[in-house]
Amino acid sequence: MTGRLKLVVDRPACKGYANCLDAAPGLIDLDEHDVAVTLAETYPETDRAALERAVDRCPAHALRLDQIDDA
Amino acid sequence: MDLTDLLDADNGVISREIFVSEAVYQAELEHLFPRAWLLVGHESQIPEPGDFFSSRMGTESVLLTRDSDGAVHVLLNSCRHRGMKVCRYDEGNTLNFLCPYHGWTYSTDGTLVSVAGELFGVPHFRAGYGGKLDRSAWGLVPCPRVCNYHGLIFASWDPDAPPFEEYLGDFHWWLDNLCSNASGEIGQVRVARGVQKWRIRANWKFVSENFLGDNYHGPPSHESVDAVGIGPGGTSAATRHGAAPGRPRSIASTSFTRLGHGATGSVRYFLGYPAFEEPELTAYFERCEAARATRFEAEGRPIGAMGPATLFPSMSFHAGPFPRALMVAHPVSPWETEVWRWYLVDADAPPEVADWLRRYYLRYSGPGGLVEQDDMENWDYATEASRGPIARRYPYNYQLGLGMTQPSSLRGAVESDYFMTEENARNFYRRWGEFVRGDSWSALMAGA
Repeated sequence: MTGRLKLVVDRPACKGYANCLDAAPGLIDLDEHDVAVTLAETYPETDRAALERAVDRCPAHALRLDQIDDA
Repeated sequence: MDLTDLLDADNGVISREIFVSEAVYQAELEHLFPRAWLLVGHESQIPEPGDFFSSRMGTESVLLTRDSDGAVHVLLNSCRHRGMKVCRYDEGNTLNFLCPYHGWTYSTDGTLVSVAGELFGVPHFRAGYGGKLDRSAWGLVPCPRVCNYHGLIFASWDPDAPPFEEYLGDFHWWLDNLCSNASGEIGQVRVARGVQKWRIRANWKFVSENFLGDNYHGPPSHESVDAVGIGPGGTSAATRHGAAPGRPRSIASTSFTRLGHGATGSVRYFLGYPAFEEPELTAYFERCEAARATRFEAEGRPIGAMGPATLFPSMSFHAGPFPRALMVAHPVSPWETEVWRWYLVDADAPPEVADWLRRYYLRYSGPGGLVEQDDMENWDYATEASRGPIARRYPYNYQLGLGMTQPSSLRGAVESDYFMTEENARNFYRRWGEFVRGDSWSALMAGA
């Protein structure tokens, strides 16, 4: 798999638990509304484990990880 | 609480106040239910990781859960933030409990938390709490004492409570039968799907006392259900329990004088399996009865201990092999009780046997069961007719069989001379009094 990863935030669902920040340090932040924001448009495959952990640890189920094909 | 003027168990005179007084009820909530071992559920209700069953202990809501590693826990179903019930479902499957009030979220997922029920996330953890809330200190309150007794899950809130087996004593023969299939294999039972829950306008102790060994109420209260043939043999059989004609229902009652448990019948008496209207049911139970007799002889288990019986304070049951069911009387107020009934079937019962038993249990017990309706009438009207200021002046009489007992082969138990007795009730209420007045565990277990 050589594609990129895209983290999709369901903004209304996010409640600012901030669990994703600890799960994926440096990859996600919270904005001025305390809602999760991605720090990159897309992420490399090497960030997959951290991003999946962030998805799993969101109590609000506000995160989804998508695979982006190279083509 | 001082019960001196209310409770004279030795002479069989007990004030109505212990059934209708709010002060006594509050003392029960403070000193009895938070210390006694209470039934929470059966492990067959939560077979898979993430399975949960919402139960009760006294007036408190608890969650019986199986975590991601398969371990069983009992957790207080109340958010640590504002007390909201974090789970309002009767049963289901989830590893995360998200409180609907402010969103505090707890988990039993071992990949997310180190302790089952730990607080796993709170909304606005960074912006609102500055990331400083100690989530490890604010998990769902775990019940400190949990015992899996051949599949039955018991729990106590008191860290100092004796081990369940000591609390149970030799009464275990009745519980062992409850946990055994019709062939006598221990642990080989499951809950027939669904727990019946309903409320009655009666004090909870009427339920315990009824199944504790009160054979006295049977003939007056249940004559009509025998007459219509509610038993497995229909109108051709002698009784609702399916006893063979001429066979006594029981020969004695057994009472644990210190521990407070009690049962109709003894370890020495086996009623036998009933003959059914349906030949295939009779054939199944005949096979099982033969297997049970062989097994029990080989294992040195006594032939009897069938019940009905009550495990102090509030779990009552028919120990089986037929019928086999249990109930817990949860207090709601001095004058109201929520009854939960579980029906047990052999884990490997053929579908037609399990289905027949389900239908039998429904016509016999529970809110729609004819025998239980007889009992509920008595409990409800007794409570109502005991509440008035005039009625409360006059105590209840528990003198049936006073002084008419003989030693049992079981530790700490006696058997009644006659099968109708209130010895069991007298010992139950003496035990009840020890808890409610706040005796220490060392005092409670002395001589037990």
